[in-house]
Amino acid sequence: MPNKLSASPPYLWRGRSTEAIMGDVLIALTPALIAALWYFHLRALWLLLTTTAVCAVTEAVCLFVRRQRGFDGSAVVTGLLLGLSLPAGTNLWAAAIASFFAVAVVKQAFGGIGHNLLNPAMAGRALLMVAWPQTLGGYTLPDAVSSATPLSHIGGENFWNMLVGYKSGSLGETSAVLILLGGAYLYLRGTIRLRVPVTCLAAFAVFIWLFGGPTFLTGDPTSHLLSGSILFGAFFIITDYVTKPTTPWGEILFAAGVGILTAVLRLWGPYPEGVCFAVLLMNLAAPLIEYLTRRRVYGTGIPGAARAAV
Amino acid sequence: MKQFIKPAVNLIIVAALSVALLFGMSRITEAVAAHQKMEAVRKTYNGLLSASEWEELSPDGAEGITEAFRGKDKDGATIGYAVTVAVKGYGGEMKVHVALAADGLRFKGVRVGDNQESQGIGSKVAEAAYYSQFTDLPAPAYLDGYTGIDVAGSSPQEGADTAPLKNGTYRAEQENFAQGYRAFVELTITDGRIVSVNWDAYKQDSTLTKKQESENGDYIMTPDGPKWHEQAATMEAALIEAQDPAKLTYNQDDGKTDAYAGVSVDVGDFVRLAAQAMEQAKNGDNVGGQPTDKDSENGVDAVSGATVSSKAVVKAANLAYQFIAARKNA
Repeated sequence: MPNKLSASPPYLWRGRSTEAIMGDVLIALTPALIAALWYFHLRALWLLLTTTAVCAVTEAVCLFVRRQRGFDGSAVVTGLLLGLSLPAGTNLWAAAIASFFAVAVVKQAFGGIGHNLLNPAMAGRALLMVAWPQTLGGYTLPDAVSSATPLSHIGGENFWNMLVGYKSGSLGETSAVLILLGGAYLYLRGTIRLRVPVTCLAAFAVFIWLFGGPTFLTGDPTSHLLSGSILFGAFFIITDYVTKPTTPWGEILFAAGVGILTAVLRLWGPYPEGVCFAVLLMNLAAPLIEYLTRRRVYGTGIPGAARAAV
Repeated sequence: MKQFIKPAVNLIIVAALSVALLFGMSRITEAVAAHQKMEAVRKTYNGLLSASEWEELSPDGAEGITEAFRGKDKDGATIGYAVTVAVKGYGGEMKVHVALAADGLRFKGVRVGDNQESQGIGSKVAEAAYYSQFTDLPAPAYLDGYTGIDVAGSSPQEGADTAPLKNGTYRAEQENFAQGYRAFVELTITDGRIVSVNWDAYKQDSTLTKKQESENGDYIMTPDGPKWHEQAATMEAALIEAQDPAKLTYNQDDGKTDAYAGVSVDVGDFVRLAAQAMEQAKNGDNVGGQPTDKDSENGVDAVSGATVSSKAVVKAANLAYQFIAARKNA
């Protein structure tokens, strides 16, 4: 393996390769993929094919140019995550540019898997949101009924519809039940630790409950949890091994940060959705969180341990 | 090889579970949605039609119809129809809920739903004082004081002329009094044909029209020739026969004609006004209808100052009536 490991030895081998982990993530994404195809039909298929193919090809070309081996399927996951995070009406050219940007600039330019600072899929989506918001094509209801995302009129959506997925939104965020199915698979396979999504969702829900209503303590966390990409993000985006801290308390701080920032951006931000920027901001904070929460060596003070670790 | 079997099995299980969940959820969603829809219908028509079951009718692209239901009692007998119509009001689209009796010939009532009519003016059509006028009103409805409300949409005219004539009554009149009279022509169109014509004139400072005056013997042209109202009747019959004012023969310079027995009066105004009314009939442009004194039994009083909104509701009610009439015949 050409990839450098990020900490000093000794290492613990869990008996699972990156390929196996990515395979598990792919299986866990199947419910969301099937839901996307179920609700958005061919448009979802073209969009997902575009992002996945461009990500995979870009990765292969970058590895070839950098004379590296190790095509491990992570680019396929990135492509699917990016595709699932985009609304169905997204322009395919824009999706292709975002995919290229995610893999070539955000991931490979920083040294490939294990070295990227930001989550590539979220960075790709953020590029479109900031640079060419019109290419996202507006949020569409399944069956091509044009409509604002539920976040634009929270409370109006029927609870059941939000739970099963008949609501407008990005491909992968429509069906809460199927996202939870995928999340459950990841958990059962030991690919993710439950503390990350649970902390994120809990922090998000509490913050919405506190500040999301017309008065203090009157927010509606349920409809907020079921709409937008918070669920998808909690299980599939922030559980990315590379861009979150590795320490237990680091993971909790990171996840809580994403939850609270998402709530803040949703309630008071200019965009209808906040997960994308919340994740990117916390990605940037991850090294610092890691530094602050690193387990100290027994018998030494925290500053000394930190200095020793650096 | 072995390392691929387990993931493949997992993939199949997860995918199968997903499809099963989606399928199950969509079934439940459909049931929930259908129930919600029926509840909404029941609520909307509460007090107008109390059906124990609603059967949905397809709008089939009929003008303005967004939803239609046949209301049935416990034994499945039709008790009436519920039709939701979207029409253009003064401020934008207006949703009108129309309840019709089982024979489709009488309104059970009308409710005005979502609308963007001017607050306090057009919005009054959504108040009981206006919409209650439709309760047990024979269909189609007319707005009192206005002729030519578009009762039916359009039915293609048989014969030559290009644009089909739309059903309704249309009126054209002179703007100013000339020699003490102001002439007008009314055309009534049914099934795309002119079925009745009324040529008459208002007399200045009088409640009588020229026809009434002539019938009384007050308006005399020549002592023994055909009277004005008789000559007018001849021209009216000629127009019904010709179905087109342009086909009437007369001298355009002095308005005289030799083609119609006994007609010695100037028919130029009649032909011009009839042609104007025809234009209105082609466009279905009856909005500029003129006040009349008639109060018909199926008349509805407009909300003061909100003629456009009032007309829109009448139009919606009549579209619903038409839709159900077509449905019942089919």
